[in-house]
Formats: sequence, C-alpha cells, structure tokens
Amino acid sequence: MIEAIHGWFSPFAAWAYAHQDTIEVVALFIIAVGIFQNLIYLLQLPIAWQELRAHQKERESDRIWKLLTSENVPGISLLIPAYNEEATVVANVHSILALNFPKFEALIINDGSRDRTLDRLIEAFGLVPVERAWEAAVPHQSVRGLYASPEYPGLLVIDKENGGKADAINAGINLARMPLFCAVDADSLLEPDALLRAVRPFIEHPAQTVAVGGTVRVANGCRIYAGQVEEVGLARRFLPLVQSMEYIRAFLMARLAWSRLGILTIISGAFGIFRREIVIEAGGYDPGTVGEDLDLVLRMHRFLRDRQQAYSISFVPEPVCWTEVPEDLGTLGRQRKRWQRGALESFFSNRAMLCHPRYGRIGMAGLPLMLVIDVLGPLLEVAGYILIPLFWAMGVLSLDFMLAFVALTFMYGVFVSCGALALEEKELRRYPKARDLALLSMVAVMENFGYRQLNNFWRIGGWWQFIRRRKDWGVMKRKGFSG
Amino acid sequence: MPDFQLVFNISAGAAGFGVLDWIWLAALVLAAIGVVMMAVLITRRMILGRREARRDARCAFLKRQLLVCLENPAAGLDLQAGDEALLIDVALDILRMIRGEDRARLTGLLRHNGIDPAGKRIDRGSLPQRLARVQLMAYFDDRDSLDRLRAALHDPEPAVQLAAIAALGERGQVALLPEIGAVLEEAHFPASLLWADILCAFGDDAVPALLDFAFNRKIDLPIRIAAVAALRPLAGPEIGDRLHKLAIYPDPMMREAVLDTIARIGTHEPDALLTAALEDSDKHVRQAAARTVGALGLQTMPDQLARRLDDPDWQVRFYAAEALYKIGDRGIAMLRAVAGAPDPDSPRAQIARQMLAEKRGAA
Repeated sequence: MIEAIHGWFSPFAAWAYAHQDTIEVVALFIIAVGIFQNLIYLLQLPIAWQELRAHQKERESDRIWKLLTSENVPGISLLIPAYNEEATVVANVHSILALNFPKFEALIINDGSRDRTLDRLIEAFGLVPVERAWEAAVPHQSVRGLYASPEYPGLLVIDKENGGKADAINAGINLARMPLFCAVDADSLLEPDALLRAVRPFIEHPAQTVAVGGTVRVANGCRIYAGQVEEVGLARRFLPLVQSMEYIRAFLMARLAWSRLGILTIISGAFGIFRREIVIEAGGYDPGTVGEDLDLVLRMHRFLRDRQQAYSISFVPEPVCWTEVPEDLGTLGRQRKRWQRGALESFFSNRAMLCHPRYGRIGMAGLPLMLVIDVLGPLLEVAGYILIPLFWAMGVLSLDFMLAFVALTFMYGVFVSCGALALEEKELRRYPKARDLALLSMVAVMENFGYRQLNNFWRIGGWWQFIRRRKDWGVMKRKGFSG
Repeated sequence: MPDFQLVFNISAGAAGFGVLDWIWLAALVLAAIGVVMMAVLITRRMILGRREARRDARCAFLKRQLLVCLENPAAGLDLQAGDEALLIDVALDILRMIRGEDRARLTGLLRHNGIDPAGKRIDRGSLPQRLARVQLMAYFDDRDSLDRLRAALHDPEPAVQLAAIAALGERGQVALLPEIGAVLEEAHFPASLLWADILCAFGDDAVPALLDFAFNRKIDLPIRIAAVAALRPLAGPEIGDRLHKLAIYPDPMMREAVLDTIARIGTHEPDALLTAALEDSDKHVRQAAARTVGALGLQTMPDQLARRLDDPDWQVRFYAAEALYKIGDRGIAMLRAVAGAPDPDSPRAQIARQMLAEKRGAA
C-alpha cells in the first residue's frame, strides 16, 4: 500500500528533488510556527494559574456584600440588542431585571425585528412611548421610538431600523445614562452576581480600568428555569461538549494569561463591561465588521496608546455568562467562518499597531501573537495537514517522522486541554460532578481527531470570505432556552 | 524516489538516541502527564464532592442552630471539632444582616461557644482565615478584640490592614482615626472606590477627622478623595467653607468629588464657587458643577447654566439643561426660549428641546 502511494506520487519526486531547498524552508516554517504556537500555550498555563490565584484571595461573599450595599459603585447600562427574539425576549428581560446590582438600567434595542419582538415587550412590561435626551455620539441607523415602563423604571426599549448588532449597541451607547455599559447578547444568560463580580476592576482601579471581560460558558446541557441556570451540566452531544472544552481553554487560559500580561485584545461580545466615555471617544462599535467586539478592543488600545493615557483592559474569571452554542455542523461552521473573518478584519484594520514600539506591549506582543495564532495559525495548520502527508507520499519525509510529528502535535493539544481543565478544577469548579470532568477529559482527547482539523478548515473558509469581502452574518439556528 | 530526505528527519542512528526518539518521548511524556493529571483531578473531585456536600450540610445545620439560638438564647450550639471556620463564615453572613441587640446576642453566643476571634493571633493561618477573623471582630465590642484590630492595622499584609480599618469603622472607633491616618500616611493601598464606604462607616462623629484626611497631603490622593466622598451622608453645610478650599485643588478628580459632596450636603454662598467650576477646564468638573447647581436648586444661576448649553461636551450641556429645569420657572422659561431660538440645529437648541420633551413625558 505504502509503495503504491509512493508510486502514484513518483512523478512529483523529480520536482521535489529540484525544489529541495524550497520544500525544506516550507516544512521548517510550518514546524517553527507550530512550535512557537505551542510554546505560547505552554506560557499561558502558568500565567493564567497565577492570575486565578490572585483572584481568590478575598472571601467572595464579603466582597459582594460590600458592593451591594455601596453608594459608590458606578452605575451600569445593560445593552441587549434583539433581532427577531419574540420567543425569548420577555424571559431574558425578566432575568436581566433580576440581576443583583445596586445601580443599573436595561436598554433593550429592537434592531428592526421582523417578528413581534417589540409587541411582546410592550405587552409584557406595559411599555409607553417616551422621549429621552440623547447624544448622537456614535453612528447608527435611525431610532423609530423609545418606550419605557412605569412599572419598571430601569427599563428602556429602543426601537430602531435594522443595522446589525454593532449598530444596535451603538444606539444603546448613545442612549445610555450610566458611566459604564455592559453589552450582553440576547441569547445569553447572566448569573445574578455576574455584574457585581465583573465590576471589581472598575472599583479597585477606577482611574485606569476602561474595559473588563468575563467568562462565557456553554449553557447547552444546563438546567435553566426562569432565565437562570439552575443546575450546571454538560450537553450529551459531541458538538456542544467540544465547544465547552474550547470555551474553558479560551477563557480560563488564553484571556486570563493575556490579561495578566496586559495584552488582552478581545472582550467577548456576549459579555463585557466598558467605560462608555472611552468607547465613544474611540468611535464606538464598527457596524462594518463582524468581529465588532475584537475590533472595538483593538481600537480602544490604539486610541488610548495614541493619547498616551494609562489604562487597563482586563479579564475577570468568575463572572459567568451562559450562552447557547450551535449544535449542528452547518451553524457551527458558519459561526467559525464569521469569527475568523472578524478576526482578520480587525487585525488588518488595526495593523498599524503591529510591531510598532509606540503601541507598547499591545503592538510588540498582542498583535504579533494575534498574527501567529489567529491570522497565520489556520493557514499553516491546514498547510501542515496537506503538505506533511504529501511530502511523505513524495518520499521526501519518512513515515517515522510524520507519525512522530503528528503524535507530538496531538499529545500537546491534549496536554494543553488537560492543563486548562486543571485550572478550572483547581480554582473555579463550575462543573460539579466528577463525571462531567471525566467527560471533558475524554473530549480533550477526542477533539484532536477530526474536530480540530474541521475547525481549521472552517477558518480557512473564513479567510476566503474575508478575501471576497463578505459582510453578512449568516443564519444562526438556535433552539432557545427552555424552562 | 528522490535521493534526499528533509534535514530534520533524523532517526536514531549510530549516536543512539536521535531527534525522532526525542519527539516520541516528548509525545509520550505529554500524554502521560495529561492522563495522570486528569486521573488525579477526577479522583480529587470525587473526594472533594463528598466533602463539600458534607460541608454544605454542616453550614446549613449551623446556620439553623444560630438562628434558633437567636430566638431562644437557652438553646445551645451543638458543635463538632473543626466547626470553627464554618461557624465564622456562617456567623459573618448573619451578622451583616442584623443589628443592635440581635448582633450582641449572636456575638455573645459565639464567645460562649469558644469562638473568640481575638483569642488567636491575627498573623496565623491562611489569608482568607485571617481576613474572616478580622471581619468577625467588627461585630464584637470587647477590649481584647479592639486591641487585636489595632495590631492588625500594622499587619504587613495590606488586605488585613484594610479589613482592620473596615472593622474599626463598623465598630465606630472614631477615636482611632488619627492612628488610622498615620497608617494611611505610610502604607499604599489600592485606590478602591470602596474606601468611601469604609470611611463613611465611622459615622457622623468622624467628620472632622475625614476632613483632616482630605487635606492631608501625605495620604494617597484616591483615599483623600474617598474621604471627601465619605462626607456625603455624614456632614452638613457647615463644613462647606473648608470644602471650598479643596474645590480649587489641582487634581480634577478631587474638584469633582468636592462638588458632588456639596451637591449632597449643601453649602453657604455656593455661587462664586459653582460659577468658577462651571468654567473649569476639565469637563468632568463642569458636569459636576452643573449637577450640583441642579441638586441645590440654585435659582440665582440660570445665566451661568445657559452659557453651558453651548459647552463642547454633551454631558455638560445635558446636566446644565437638567439643572435649568430643576431650578424651576425661570430655568424652564430659559430652556423654552433657547429651544425656540432661530437656529434649531444648534447644540443648545437641541438639548433644550430634548430636555423639555423628556421632562414633559416624565410628567
């Protein structure tokens, strides 16, 4: 069999011989970037662990009590964009209004829904049309009307022309009255104490903190009642399970480590708190990109560095926002392509910071890391999947080497995932059952065989969309939270 | 087949252990570490899960017992070895929510059952345990615990020092504020917004000492600003004259804090101060000045407010328009006049129109 494969590729062997130097350079480049990527992951683990330990110093209940009873906690405007959410919007607003926080307002932005989202809100909360003074500080589609509820004084519904998520949040930013705002996806659920925990950096470093991200976890598999996660659990289907593992790795390892090093480049669109004034000065969200969360954080870095202002953009591991993740390959693929396209749009529109000493750590480390992991990462990994077996088929790479290389890559992936799980288990323990941990451990192994490769092919699809300048979001199928 | 192979393709040769072997070994080591790590974690979780369930049940039991004892002091606590840390946690949660006699009864009950936070050295144990003991002492009223708290003021760990200051505030130990001031002069604490709450807890009698903190240049500026903020629920207009001096402090955050405090407590003859603040170079100070005029309902300042309707900062325009509305007929008439001005797109006309519409709707 092996001889037969070599035989099929023997016509290319002469070509390979003629281009021996090129092949060596390409192969070494792929391997070098792979090693560099893996070293980054290895670096993230201990740094993230240090950061997690620093967060566990004080008794949580004491801290929360202090904040709940404080007059000096800055107010937060919760911005919840909703597009065709008639099935879930009322329950979501009820759960938002039940959050524990001393000073907040909830702004629901109906982004030109074509279903009965607005009607449902009007009926459920007895909304009446109101006027509110507001500043057109950041651009968005026109506002058709504002509605408030005499019963719920902290609730405002903004009805506007459709313009997409970023556009809707911009409208919310303009109408917000609090110094901080928190952008929350309509398909996400916040834990009751999430704001109290997430606002901590704004309390402890009020002069520097401009944005804070919190952990987002997978809600599929959890028992949800009245808009709250009653019992944390894992989904039993492979796709949501593997995404649970990905979210743990992304939030507990990467973001925590980058936050400690001061090079955090993203705050998830599903849950982040921002200082409104700075976001306005940085130009607000860009409706022209699908990676609006990443783009905003990069622009904030750029703006604040240009202004030479001391600032901090940080990540706190405890606050939990639960989100529903795709359960079918089609939706997941569209989401991943869109994420990749968003990363590329944001990277290239902020490329002026890349390796520019003026932008400090973010220019010299944050953007270069993004280049290696998010921009080149999928290209080189897929190139590796194709070229390494091809080189073997052409006879320029031995089977021994290929197998050893593949084994090392896979085992390294498993090791990193286990490390992230260890962090989760040691410091947070959000999944209460031992069998959940065992299941996640198995997923950490299984994801390397098929899912990881598929994910990288989707990301290449994202590259293709970026090159073709696609701007749409694609259709996202969701089941919604039952209960 | 080509007669070359890639240079890095080195298998075990005459030298023995080659690059390829190292790669395999690394893969195996990583796999082994991963497997062992997960096996340990899963086993640990199984053990901890049972232990946590027992701990939660014990906490619930102790909480019920404490509540029963509060209702019926004759009932005793049924304690086991190792209950102390749990009991402190449970007691702290209850103590925060009760006041007066109930609080005294609960601390008496704790002491009666051998839970005396002053009985142990503050510098022993893990940081959370030490903090819990310091926090618990906030609710005791005996001399020993006070001495322990004073000692904790000089602890090398800032979190313990901070907890001790908060506990002394909770006990209303105003007499110790000079000592706390000396600690604040020497130590550098995080610039937490919660400093204002901590200092405010010392109560009305702390006003002179808090003013001293605000003027003390040896203390970090964020704590001095917090001292100004702490005055809001405690002081009255009689301290306004002293605050006026801070209203021209070089740092804009201090000027803003002073204005927000004046908005709450009032002051004698504020016009000159606020007129100057409305023209301040810092937009946050101008915003605070406009808010203060509105909060104090100063009918003598509509002209100064009207000038701010042209401010380059929208928030200043907003607060100025709101203040005009709040000061009553003269201000509202001025807003109407501006709203109907010949240039309807000017910022001043826009904000005046928006404010009138918002207030009309709210009415």
